[in-house]
Amino acid sequence: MTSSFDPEGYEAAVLAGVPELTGARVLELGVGDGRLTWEYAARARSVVGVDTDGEGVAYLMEDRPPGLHDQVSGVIADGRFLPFAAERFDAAVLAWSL
Amino acid sequence: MVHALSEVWRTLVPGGLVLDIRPYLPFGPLELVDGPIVEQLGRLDEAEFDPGDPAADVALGEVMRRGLYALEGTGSFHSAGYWDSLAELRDYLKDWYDVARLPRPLADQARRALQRSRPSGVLRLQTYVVVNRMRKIFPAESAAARRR
Repeated sequence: MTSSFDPEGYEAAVLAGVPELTGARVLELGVGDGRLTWEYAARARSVVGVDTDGEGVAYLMEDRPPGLHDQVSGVIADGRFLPFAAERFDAAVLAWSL
Repeated sequence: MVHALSEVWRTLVPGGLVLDIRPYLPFGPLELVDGPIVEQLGRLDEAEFDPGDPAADVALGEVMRRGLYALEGTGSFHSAGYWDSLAELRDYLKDWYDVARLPRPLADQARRALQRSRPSGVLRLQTYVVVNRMRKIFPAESAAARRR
């Protein structure tokens, strides 16, 4: 059995068209298994993916390409109570999460 | 949602960017795609759901009214998911159970269509996706902008 989502790459194109993500410290809310994360993580300075779903965050961490181990991290948390200091991020991606 | 948007605001640097990417339901019709041939099979049951994403839109409106963010622009596109088995489609739809369900007659029809088009046919569900691009601002800036 196989499935694929957005193989046409429309979401990837949207993210590719955001130059501010390059070199940025990015918070991704609703990160899930990182489907959107991998579209921009390589050019970000760092990405912290947050989700209430621990299974999704576990997949995110397992799927990290070797070159992105230091750049991408996952945190299980509720978006209403983010465990981060003020002004820590340059950009936020709300990934199907509002 | 307002609380989460306020938390995101707190963690962003001044002028920080927010990309809000989210689906606006209803889904498109369930389709069988077999090469260039597209067959519409029917619609999911979304009768209990309000079209669009009204709760999130209200939350966005509220944080902008409070002067936390400025909307820079909005775009949209259609995104599609593909499944070569009914089981995988059902698994995907579990996350949407509160808003979209696969009625049994449509499931039966999809199963028959997949069998008929084996091995090349796949099920497709299209989603209208909206992208809002916003900037963190301060309430004082917002008030000044309104006065200008």
